[in-house]
Amino acid sequence: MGGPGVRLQAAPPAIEIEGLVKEYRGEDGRTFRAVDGLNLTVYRGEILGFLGPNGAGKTTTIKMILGLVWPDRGRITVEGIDAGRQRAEVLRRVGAVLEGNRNVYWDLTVYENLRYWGTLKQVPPAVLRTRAEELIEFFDLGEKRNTLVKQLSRGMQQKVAIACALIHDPSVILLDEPTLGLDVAAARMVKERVLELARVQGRTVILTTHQLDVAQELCDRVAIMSRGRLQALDATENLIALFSRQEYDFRVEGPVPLAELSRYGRVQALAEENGAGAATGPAAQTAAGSPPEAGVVRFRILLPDADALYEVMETLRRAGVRILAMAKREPGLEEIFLQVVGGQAGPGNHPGAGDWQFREEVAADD
Amino acid sequence: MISHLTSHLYLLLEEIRRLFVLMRRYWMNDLSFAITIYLLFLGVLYMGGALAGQAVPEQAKAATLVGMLMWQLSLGCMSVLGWSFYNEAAVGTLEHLYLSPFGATRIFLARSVANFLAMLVVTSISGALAILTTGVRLHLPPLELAVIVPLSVAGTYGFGFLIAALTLTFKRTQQVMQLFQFFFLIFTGAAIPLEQMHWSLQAFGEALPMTAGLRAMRAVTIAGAGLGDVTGDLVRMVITSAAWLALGIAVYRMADRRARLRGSIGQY
Ligand SMILES: Nc1ncnc2c1ncn2[C@@H]1O[C@H](COP(=O)(O)OP(=O)(O)OP(=O)(O)O)[C@@H](O)[C@H]1O
Ligand SMILES: [Mg+2]
Repeated sequence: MGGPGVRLQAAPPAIEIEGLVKEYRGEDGRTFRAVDGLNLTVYRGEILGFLGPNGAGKTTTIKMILGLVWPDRGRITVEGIDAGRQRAEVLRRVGAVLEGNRNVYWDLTVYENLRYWGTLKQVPPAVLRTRAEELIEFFDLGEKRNTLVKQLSRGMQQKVAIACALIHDPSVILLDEPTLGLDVAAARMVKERVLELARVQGRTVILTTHQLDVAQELCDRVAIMSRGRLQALDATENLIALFSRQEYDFRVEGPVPLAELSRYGRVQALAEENGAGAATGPAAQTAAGSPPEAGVVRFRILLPDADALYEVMETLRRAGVRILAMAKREPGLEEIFLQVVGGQAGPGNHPGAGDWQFREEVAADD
Repeated sequence: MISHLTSHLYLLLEEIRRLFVLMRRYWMNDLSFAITIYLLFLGVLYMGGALAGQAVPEQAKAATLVGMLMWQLSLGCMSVLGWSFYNEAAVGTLEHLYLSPFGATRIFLARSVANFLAMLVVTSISGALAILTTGVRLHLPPLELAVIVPLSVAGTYGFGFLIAALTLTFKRTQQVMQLFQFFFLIFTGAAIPLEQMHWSLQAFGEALPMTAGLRAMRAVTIAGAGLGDVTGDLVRMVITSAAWLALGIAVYRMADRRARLRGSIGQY
């Protein structure tokens, strides 16, 4: 039970992937490497997020764990059991919801689906009945138990799919884009259940998603995959810290000494929060558009190190600028993701310096 | 844990339950199917008579009816291993069948048995309609039917596994399935007497599942023969059915292997 902090050292990890390779042959006969030497260990009880652009090889990897796709090379074990040699044993421990699929029968009811898929997972009938009831309650499907799945909302269908994937009480759950196509409320419902599966019930969850906020909210660790390879793998907060920079947002009042500040770091003007302009619009325009806030300026500065912040503060004080607010900027997973898959893997390489020039030509327009 | 055998029994019962739930829910489809075959029978019967310019002899009527009903039963394999296999592959539930520790082959075997039972119900409706409205008389000895019907139809499910293999490999197989539906109608002697065909087609027909079974069925239901009178065809139907099942499953497994190597089980 509990989060990743309570790992049992002796027990084999939930999933271990070594040197996994998968090549597909296209229509033209040429081979294409969808997964290219993947190594990955997933710990028991954690939620691991699998991120990556379209075609990165996430679904292929998930299907290889399930034995729906056979690897060309490499080894996968689930809780120490070889997925290639003892597939049936692995399938008893794993539940899965696949991407963009009907994962259950639409012309059966919720309960009929649970019973059907439970029987296919070799759950004994007596256990199956209680398990189905538990899942119906867990996913709040009581009122819909005798409704055909095709008549349910998209969010409920997804809950039924996850419930059926859990019918045999698997310790590992693979969810390929579990919140795809769901509205905000339905996605939140699914996210809450997923959290509970890991945090309360102690299951291991691997999920893929393109919604980075989902990964940031749920995942203990994030693996970023691109072109079949693992580009980054770390605890979500480490990844964020790793990519965090000495970058500060200021909201000030008074004559900002731009030239002088530029000596310490790259300065970028920001729109006033309550201004009508876009977030990156020129400060001067916004200031002109909102008279009560005249003289209030927002800017962002990227410094080479933390010490430079003293110089910036000192410069502002000497110029008689009043600091209304200041905050260190933390990158979101989205930014990290774009950097990693943008081919500039690794921290320290930050995107286009052009963005960071103060747009004096715009500011001087008035 | 439940024993190996028991869990397979549960699988079979669940497949039967699922199929009958669906039948009850969509009974219009099955009823339409029963009536379609009945109408087809009427068509064949009276068109044949009109072409010949005379009334069809009672024996020929009965032979046609038995042929049509056995053909109808043989179509069961198309519904479970043809059409619904194709649909499940296309919508994605097939991949979940593959996630069962039973393995897809056993699940589809259980489904075939369930489907056979459902088809017996549907075929009985067509048969009853035909008998009631055309005055055709058949002998229906329970023991003989219980032996011959399953034995002769079993092979068609083997043939069905071949269709499933084609679907796994070539994806769009609707046209092929339509073609194969008529295979059994023409080449097993269901609609046209096999003896009148060229010897090569006769040989081909004899190799198909159901041909021997159909002949035995006619002997039993029309001439009133017993099991002892049709031993030759009994042996033949056991051999063809076993061979077709073995061949179908073997080819299906090869297609399955190929699909997993290509990662194409769920790609439609
Ligand atoms: N059966 C297949 N045959 C040939 N190519 C395939 C097959 N399945 C996937 N691919 C290709 O392999 C690559 C990886 O696909 P995969 O579905 O694993 O990516 P993904 O990371 O899940 O992408 P997405 O975010 O779009 O779901 C893609 O370029 C895809 O087109
Ligand atoms: Mg995918």
